[in-house]
Amino acid sequence: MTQRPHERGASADLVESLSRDLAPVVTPPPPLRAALLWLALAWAAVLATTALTGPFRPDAGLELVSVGRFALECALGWAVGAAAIWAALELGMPGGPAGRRRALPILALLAAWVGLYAAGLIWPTLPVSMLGKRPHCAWEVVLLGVGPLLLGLWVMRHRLALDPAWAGLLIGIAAGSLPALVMQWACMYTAGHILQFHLGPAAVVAAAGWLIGPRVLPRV
Amino acid sequence: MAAAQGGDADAYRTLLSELERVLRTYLRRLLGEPSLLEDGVQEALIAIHKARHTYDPDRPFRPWFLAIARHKAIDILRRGRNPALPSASQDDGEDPAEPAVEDRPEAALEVARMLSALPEIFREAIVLTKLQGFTVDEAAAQAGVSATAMRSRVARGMGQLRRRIEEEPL
Repeated sequence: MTQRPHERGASADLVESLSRDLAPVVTPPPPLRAALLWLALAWAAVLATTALTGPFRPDAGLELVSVGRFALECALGWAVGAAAIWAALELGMPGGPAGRRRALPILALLAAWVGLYAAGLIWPTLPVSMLGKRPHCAWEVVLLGVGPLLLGLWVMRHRLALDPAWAGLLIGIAAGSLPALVMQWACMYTAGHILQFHLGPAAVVAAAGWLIGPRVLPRV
Repeated sequence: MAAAQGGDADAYRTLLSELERVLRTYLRRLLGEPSLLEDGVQEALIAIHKARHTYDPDRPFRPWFLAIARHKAIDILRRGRNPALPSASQDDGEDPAEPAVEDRPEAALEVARMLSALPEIFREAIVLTKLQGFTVDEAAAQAGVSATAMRSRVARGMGQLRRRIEEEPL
């Protein structure tokens, strides 16, 4: 292969200038480790803040161990958050599957989670009750999602997301799913209420991630 | 790259020099237009430099740098600087390194000209699998599509290429 002389010169100059004074760089922690750290911090923050702003529903713990479908809903919610943040951080290491392919399994999990509540509109998981209702649960979900969202975006800023909108969306899904899930135990349980006042606001957090991601994540 | 991450300038210089050649071949097909090639190579080198901390030494290097190179190529094409112009054949007269026609420069030029007229997704699929020798799975990973989709693109692209060759006046 041949090159024009000015091309050889320009490329050689560039290679030389990039190599000169090369500074060592610190590689970010592997995606799985970073995801676990994010989960630990975000969970701790959301649980603690929720506990500070009001009581948890008294029978939530008993329901979790005695009602299988309720436990399944909680497990799916947890899986959505964990898988979404892991997939987002994997997107920050170029070379793997593209954003769309990373996001599809997460969106399928999310659809299953939402589907359980949709089914609950007809076949309720728990007896319909206003017990434990928080007056501002929708706002709490949004506000409690902001911290994990910003933390996730900050972690992602030390990586390179070639699909920043998908990365932002996945971080947003993870951040929104945490408070929505905690409201399972801290707020009243009816499927309609959860869909409207817990998952609806979680979708707002996810949308915020999708919008903010391309604006704040680094580009090359 | 692992040595470069630790600050080894000599290793980095060697790596970038080799990458420059690989990128030139890779981007020539993706960008098509020779005037975009130099920008593409240099922007890809700069991008690789800026992103060098995101390379995980425990993972393969080639998908990492080709993902960045492809991202830069798309970036350049999206800037609207004419995505579908002829490629290697009109650059500097060198053949496009297509093994089957390498010993026949006029045939190589002809293939390159026809290839450049294909839609980008088909051209990319053929270049990756038929010219650069990636497997369907590797090419699919680079293009961010499923292996099935990549297989379909290769088949449809080859079909279009075949029709163009057949329709070409003698």
